[in-house]
Order: sequence, then structure tokens, then C-alpha cells
Amino acid sequence: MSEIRVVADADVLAADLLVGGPAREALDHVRRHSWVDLVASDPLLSDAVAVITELADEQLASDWQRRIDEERTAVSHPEGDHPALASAYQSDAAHLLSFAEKLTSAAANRSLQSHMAVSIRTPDAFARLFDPASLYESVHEEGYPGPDRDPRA
Amino acid sequence: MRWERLFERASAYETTTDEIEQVLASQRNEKREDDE
Repeated sequence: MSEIRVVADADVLAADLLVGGPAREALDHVRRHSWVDLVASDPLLSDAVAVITELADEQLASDWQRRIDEERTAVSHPEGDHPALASAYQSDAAHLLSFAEKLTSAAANRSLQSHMAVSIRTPDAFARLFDPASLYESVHEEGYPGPDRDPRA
Repeated sequence: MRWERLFERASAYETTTDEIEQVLASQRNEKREDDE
């Protein structure tokens, strides 16, 4: 597992595929850097697959699942836990992306800080504030070498 | 499959973020009720 771990809730994963916009911009940052891990449990991916199946079609959902399976770092958590929060907790992720106001609000962030050191942001905020050079240099001794992957490959 | 190809196929559905949030919230509510 890499030093920098990011969790995207199922709404962000589905929006990355179906909508684009800030969700894709945010996850492009992750895809662009091999040292940033996208962490997701099976229940988290199942939620996203169910959304994609309902709003698009089963074949697209299935192809998406095969692709995301190649890239995600899997974690497990107790059944019934919120899949995104639990994925972040189990992986000690630094960032959790969600569109849900109940997760991204200042109050929610404050109340979770006593349990886990995760920053919960909307994809738009994450995309704006993501600073790869600063993050890279916080965990590596050498300077940031720039993106090392094609985010659309 | 390349991400680019997946994004091209998905663009045909013209989905909005609001629709995604509504569907996800509904699915999670149903699951919570089933668990209870």
C-alpha cells in the first residue's frame, strides 16, 4: 500500500464514470500518480456498481468493476459499516471524497477527527487543493518528479 | 479496458450528480431497512 491513500464514496466513483466534472478531475489526480492509492472495500464497489447499473446498464457497470478492481487497494470491514468511512478507517486514508453534505460538512469533519485523521472533501475541493509536489515530498526524500501515469489509459 | 473508452460509453447516458446521489441514498436506505 502506498503512503498516500484516498477513498472515494460510491457517488464520486459513479460520477467519475457517468458525469465527469469535478469527480473525474479529482480521480484523475489519483490515477495520474502511482504513489497515490485508491482504497475501496467490496461493499463500496458494490454500491457504485448498483448505481451505475440503475442509471446506465449492467454491461457498463461490469466493465467498470473489472477496471476499478485492477487499480483499487482492497480493504475489508464489518458488515453494516458505512462503506466509505470504514474503507478510510481501515486503510488510515488521508482523504475521503464525497458529495454528501452530511459527510463533508465542517461539523462532520470535526466529529470524526477524534476517531480518524481523515479529511473529507467534495471532489471539487479536493481537485482544487490537491498539491502533488507537497504530498510527494512529505513522504519521499527526493523532489516531486511529476505525474507518472496516463489517467485515461 | 481504457478509462477513456469507459468514459466515452458512459457519456451516452447524460447522468447528473443529483441523480447519482438520489439513487445511492435510496439504495443505502433500503439496505439499512433490510438489515434492521
